[in-house]
Amino acid sequence: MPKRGGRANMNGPSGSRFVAFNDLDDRDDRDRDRERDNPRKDRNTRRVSFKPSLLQYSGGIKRRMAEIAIRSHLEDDEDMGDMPGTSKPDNTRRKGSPIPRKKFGNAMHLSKSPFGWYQIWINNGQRYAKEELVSVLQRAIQPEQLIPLYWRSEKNNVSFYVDDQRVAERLDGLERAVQMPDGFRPYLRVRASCPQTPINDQLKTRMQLVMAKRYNVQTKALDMSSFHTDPDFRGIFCGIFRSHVMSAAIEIMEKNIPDLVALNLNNNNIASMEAFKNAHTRLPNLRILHLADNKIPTATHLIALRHVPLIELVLKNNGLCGRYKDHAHYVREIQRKFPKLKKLDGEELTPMIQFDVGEEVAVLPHAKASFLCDPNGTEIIRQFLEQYFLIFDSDNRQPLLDAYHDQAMLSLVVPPASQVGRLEKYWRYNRDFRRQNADDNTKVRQLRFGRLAVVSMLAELPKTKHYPRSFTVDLTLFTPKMIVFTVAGLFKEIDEVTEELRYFQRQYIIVPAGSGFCIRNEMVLITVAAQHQVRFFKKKIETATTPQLNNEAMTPSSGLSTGLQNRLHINQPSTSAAATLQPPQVGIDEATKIQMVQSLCAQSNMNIEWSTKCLQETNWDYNHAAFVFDKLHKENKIPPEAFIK
Amino acid sequence: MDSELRSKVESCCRTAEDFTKLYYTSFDKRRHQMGRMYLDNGLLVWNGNGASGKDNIQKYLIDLPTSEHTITNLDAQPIIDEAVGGQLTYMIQAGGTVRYAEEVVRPFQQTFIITAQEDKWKIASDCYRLQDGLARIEN
Repeated sequence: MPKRGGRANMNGPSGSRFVAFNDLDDRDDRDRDRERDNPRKDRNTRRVSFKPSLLQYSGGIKRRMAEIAIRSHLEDDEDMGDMPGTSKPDNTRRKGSPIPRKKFGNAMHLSKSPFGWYQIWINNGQRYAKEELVSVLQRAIQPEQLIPLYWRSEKNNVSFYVDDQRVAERLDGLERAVQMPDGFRPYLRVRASCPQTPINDQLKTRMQLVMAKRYNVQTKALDMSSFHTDPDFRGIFCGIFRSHVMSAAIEIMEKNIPDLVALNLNNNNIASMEAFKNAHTRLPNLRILHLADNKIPTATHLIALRHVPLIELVLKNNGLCGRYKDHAHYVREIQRKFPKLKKLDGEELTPMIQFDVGEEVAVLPHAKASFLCDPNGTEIIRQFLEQYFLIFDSDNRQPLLDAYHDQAMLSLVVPPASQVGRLEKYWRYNRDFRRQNADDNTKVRQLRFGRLAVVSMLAELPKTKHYPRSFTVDLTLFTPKMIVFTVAGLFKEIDEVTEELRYFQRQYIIVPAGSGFCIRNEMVLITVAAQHQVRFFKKKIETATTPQLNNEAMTPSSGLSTGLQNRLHINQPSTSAAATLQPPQVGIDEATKIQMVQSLCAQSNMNIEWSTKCLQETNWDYNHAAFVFDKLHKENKIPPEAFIK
Repeated sequence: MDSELRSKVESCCRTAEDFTKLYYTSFDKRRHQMGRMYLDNGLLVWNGNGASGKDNIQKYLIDLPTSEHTITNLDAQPIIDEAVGGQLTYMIQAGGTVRYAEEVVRPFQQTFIITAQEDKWKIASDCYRLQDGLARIEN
């Protein structure tokens, strides 16, 4: 029986029985919640509705209906959808019950917010300036101090939050008692709710300060219980039940207190432990975790913690505790999930007898950008790659002829279509042995032999732009007669309309030729960029490859060389791009040189000084010099003084 | 391409098939026996971490988490150069996916130089890269 509701209803002022409509809104909330948890089951729950025409006889009803309409409209747009526990204090008793939840009439009380935050809606508040509204409300609730936070207006209405319960209660009591200077009495609606705080640097800094204050260096313990209630969060709602806020907190721990041993998260309305994914690597010393008085519904939610070797765990007063037939069953199941557990909910456990499968689990070593079996190879490989990809990324790959041995071999592979999709542009060159019907003939045919065959195939491949900043370089063999290395990284495949990010790996065998080196064997693999690589590219590479300053411009491929220097961990600046790919053209006499300079002047429009410089840097290879000029000129990397005659 | 070269290419391809089958089975199931597949002074570079000499390689491999490789692409070429003298030497490139312990399945690529020593194939150099290894760290 509706004990409270019934009596209040009888004594309430006229029209107050329809305050029951407020309950309709609440039902909406709960229906939504249930729908989220149980998407199919509750879809058909019938909603109570009244036809407005029936109610028009009573004064004030019309007004209320309008308000309800507005409110339900607004709530459709509600952004608190993911807030567990928002203003539903007596949820369990109320589920499905027709009994109105709130007291009727003026006896209606604001339910206490579990977070200490309240939202205030002002219908038609938009027509007044913020200052005007605030000052009217402020006067009405004297002597309380009104500090409206997260002010937001939407259509005609405004909303804001307060983090003071007394202020919220006073505002709630106002109903329509406030009057604006123009005589309008705005309708105020107050409810327990918390704002969606954006995760920004300001919040993170504040979190870090509060966490530092709550960290005990001696015991390596961090107390984050009832975190959002910390007085230092005044004006900011920092609810760590939201996964991304918790993630930010873990990030702060990882950076500042990686040796954390004990963490107290009691009383934070936490329902998901998703943020704790990989916690065993991020907080490798975490052994004690308190999660009492939260909302973790089942033990499966603890899966994110499965690799954390916890020895002490507190879970009491969570939904999951009630899911076992008895206490012993509960203890047994939790202990099975955390075999190293010695203490659960403060109670000592009998240790579980385990199978001896060896102690620590092996972990993958971290990847490194380069391995060089001989430091003497560093400079050779750097120059080689610099020149190779400068030409490869240009409009004309013909000059690569000089880079290959007379009897060079080249083959290209793309992974099967079933794995990465069909990489159309490379498919006809694919020499993959694992392809269906890859017989001996294909294997022989798809192996390019001789530098003409090699370079003509390379010339047919799509245009590219390689990103040395993404390269990994492994030098695995370094002898005076032969050098073997593998380079891999990201490049963009460019055609008229699209640009695709790709990953390549190339293994080179280079042998001495003249005073430089040439390629004897090369194997190329091309595939799609993995998810992490795309993210890495967007975050670290795309933004970093801004145009270079002109000063360096005449060092060909300065972009490539800085990238490769980083990869190969060498710091000395590029001296000159001496031709490692081909023997220097010995015996060029001065007359020929002058001729070359003159032709380049005419062709490029650069002055003699810069034309000479360009030819010197390309070792008097006229075609290469012209090509380098073209490339840099297109990229606007040639300073204007080069053209002053 | 003359017939002599052609037959060299063909036998190289066959060796590469046999080699990778053996290599990845050993990697996934008999890692403790892998040291002997390398030259005494062979080199393994696993994601930029080097281990040289077959004993160090053996140890390095054993310390890795359990693995499950699936090979989807393979390529090989004979190295015909005075640098290797008359010794049969092949370069091999394999790739596919791998799952380490309970991690997610990730793409990987690997390149080898194998050489015939007396009547056995031995790995002279082995270079292994998880495709997103570096990106994951730098992210």
